[in-house]
Amino acid sequence: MIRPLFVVPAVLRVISAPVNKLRISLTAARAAAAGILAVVLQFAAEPASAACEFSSGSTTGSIAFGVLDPVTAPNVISAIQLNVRCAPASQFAIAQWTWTSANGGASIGRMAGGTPAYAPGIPYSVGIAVVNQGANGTLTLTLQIAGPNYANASAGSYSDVLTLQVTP
Amino acid sequence: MNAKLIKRILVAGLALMGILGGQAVYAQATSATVAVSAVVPKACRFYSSPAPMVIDHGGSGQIDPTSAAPATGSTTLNYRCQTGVSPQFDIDSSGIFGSPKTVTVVLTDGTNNLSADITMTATGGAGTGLGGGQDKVGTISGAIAPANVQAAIASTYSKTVTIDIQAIP
Repeated sequence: MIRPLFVVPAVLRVISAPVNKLRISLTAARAAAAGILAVVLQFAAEPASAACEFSSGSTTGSIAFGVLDPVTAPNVISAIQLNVRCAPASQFAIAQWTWTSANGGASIGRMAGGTPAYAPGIPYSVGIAVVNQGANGTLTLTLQIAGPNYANASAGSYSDVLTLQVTP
Repeated sequence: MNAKLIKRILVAGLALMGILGGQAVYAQATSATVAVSAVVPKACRFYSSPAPMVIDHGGSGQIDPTSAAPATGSTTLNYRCQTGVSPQFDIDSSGIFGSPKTVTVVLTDGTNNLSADITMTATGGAGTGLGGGQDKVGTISGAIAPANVQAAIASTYSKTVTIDIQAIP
């Protein structure tokens, strides 16, 4: 008699883990002589396409420079920290943390806005630093606006969306 | 159920846990978005000091009490405003800004007084930025009405006026 397949508790625990992708292959066959169902479980965790990721709660953020002073136009800096993690921890050494500005592209950040619209926008520089390893990494995103970049800007509100990307 | 079979499955499960436990892989969140914002307020400022303004007749340096024309004078000073923003002015802290702005002030020689109208005008119009090279010319003009000229006692009259600038909201 062929008995129904079953899943042992150990397998359930594995599936509930935060795996990237799990491929399960079940093969059932009857051992003719013994009349016993033989079950072969083959598990293969597919290689993750990214070994690092932004932790839950750190996939969004905001940096508000607030009200700038175009009269004295000092350089202004603002930063936030995002939690990241890599497995294995050594992946930090090879992970590529890149960014793209919705209005500025991949080489320069740029806020758009102003009334009337300020054609050059307000460019800003982007700095990324990642410290610690494993599951407790911290990515510090530092943005800086040089004074001359907004001294002649039209009055109004400016904004941009910066997308951070990690590979692998 | 066959005890040997159960044992095999449990062993396989435990082995699997060991394999996956040795190298955890995460559900992917390989990107994050950060909203960036800033506000540039309206602003205007003076960027020079005006030369003294002399009110006279015909550039003579003197007021002609026989003239039926007002004595006049003018000087300039530079201002800058944000692009598209126009300035307005106040003179001697009257409390009311305007563009142009005119206030009647009193010149004095220490004893006698002489009234004059002082006007500040944004001759250069709206600003083009507060950075270097964005100066706009503002004009300060003064006038003493003929009646005041004719009634004035011969002397030298003077006054220092303060002019404030701000962006028109």
